[in-house]
Amino acid sequence: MTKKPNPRVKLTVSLTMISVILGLMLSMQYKNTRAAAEFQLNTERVYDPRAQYTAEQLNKVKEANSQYEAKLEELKKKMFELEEKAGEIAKQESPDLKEELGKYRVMSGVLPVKGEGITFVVDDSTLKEVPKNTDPEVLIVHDYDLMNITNELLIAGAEAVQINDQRISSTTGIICIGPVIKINGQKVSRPYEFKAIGNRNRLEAALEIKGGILDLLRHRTIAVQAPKSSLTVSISGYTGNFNGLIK
Amino acid sequence: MKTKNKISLLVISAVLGCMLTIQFSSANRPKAESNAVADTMQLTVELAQQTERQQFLRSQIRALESQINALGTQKVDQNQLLLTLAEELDKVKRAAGVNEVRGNGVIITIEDNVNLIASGPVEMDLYRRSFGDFLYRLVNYLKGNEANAIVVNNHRIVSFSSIRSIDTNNLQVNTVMISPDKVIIKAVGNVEQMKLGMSLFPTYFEMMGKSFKFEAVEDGSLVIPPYDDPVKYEYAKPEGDKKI
Repeated sequence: MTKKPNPRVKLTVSLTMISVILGLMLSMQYKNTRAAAEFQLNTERVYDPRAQYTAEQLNKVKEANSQYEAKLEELKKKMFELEEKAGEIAKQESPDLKEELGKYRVMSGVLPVKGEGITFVVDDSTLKEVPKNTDPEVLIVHDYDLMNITNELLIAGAEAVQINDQRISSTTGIICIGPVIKINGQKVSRPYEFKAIGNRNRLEAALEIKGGILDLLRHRTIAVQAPKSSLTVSISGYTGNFNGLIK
Repeated sequence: MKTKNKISLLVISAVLGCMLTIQFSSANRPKAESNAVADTMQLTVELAQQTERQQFLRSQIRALESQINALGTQKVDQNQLLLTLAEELDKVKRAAGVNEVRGNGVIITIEDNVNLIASGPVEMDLYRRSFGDFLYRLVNYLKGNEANAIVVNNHRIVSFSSIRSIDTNNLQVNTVMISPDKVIIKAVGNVEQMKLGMSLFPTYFEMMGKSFKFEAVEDGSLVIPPYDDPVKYEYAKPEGDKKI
């Protein structure tokens, strides 16, 4: 025969249970109310009019800078043509001046150049999910990948290199700042388009060598387009101040 | 049960319930921190950088326009024409890295260290093979942190400079062989910024059995020699060149 529970104990247990549930409900309610208030506050911060204004200003300045860069490039071409003429005039006095100017302008990177070379694009992995036992970092293009490709191109004799719209100069740094890659102090976004002027067969062979830089990237499932060779690759001029070297 | 006891039990149970809930919520609460403030700061920094760049671009445009005007009107004054071209040549040579640069900077010495080699990891040989890659990265990080002239064992870094390890005993800078046993990098530029840029590198080089020492030169006496090998461009031609 089962023992009948003591009504006092039964009452106590029920009361305790009800109280605990009531307490939980009260706390939940309080937390929900607070979370809602916090969300509203955060939303106000995200849509902070100052941030919005700054972002708008930034876009305007960037747009204007692109126009200034285009104008500067045009002026450089014009200047080059004028210097060519002036160099001819000054040839008697200083026969090497014209050639020297042309050569060092190309070397510094300030002058837009063209010639035979290769172009190709490198981008993050297209895999939608990170495979098991794979570090997700290897699926992303890093600053050192861009550096290694640039180094490989230069070793193979590239005379001018550009990544997206950034020309490699004597002071060009390719560095990561947080999740952003900066070249010449400017943010560059994926995909990364390489342009290199030089002997196209040699450049292509250096990149595509078995176990070479592009092979290593492909092994990481990085999207690498096969280099396309061309007789006229155009590379824009460097528009920075050489980290303060040129005032 | 007495009423007093019941009330006590009720209060204790309610408090316990509250505590449990708070504990549960705290442990499982997703981080609700907003990046809005950080984003605004980042935007402000970027705006300042872009504004500064705009000023630089405008000053370059003004300078070029005045040079173009001057060249256009100097057809007869040959001396002035020569002077303008010589000034321009000096400027582009400086930018190209074929002029000497003097200023504040850092001297970095990376050399083999017997103790580090003896206590190094088993994969050290593998690391040592990538010395060239890491040297190139370091140079890049110096340039990305406001170095304006760099020399590696007296080889000036220019726009087409490359660095690579052939094997653990041979290193090439600007396609010239140098010994990897001791490499001295000198860089003129913003000292504080460069210090930040190189902060991660000592650990990498130590894993290769190499010590990393640096010295700041802040009296403007650091000299970076010019690139002095012959320069010839076979493929890259200026856009306005009629020969293309």
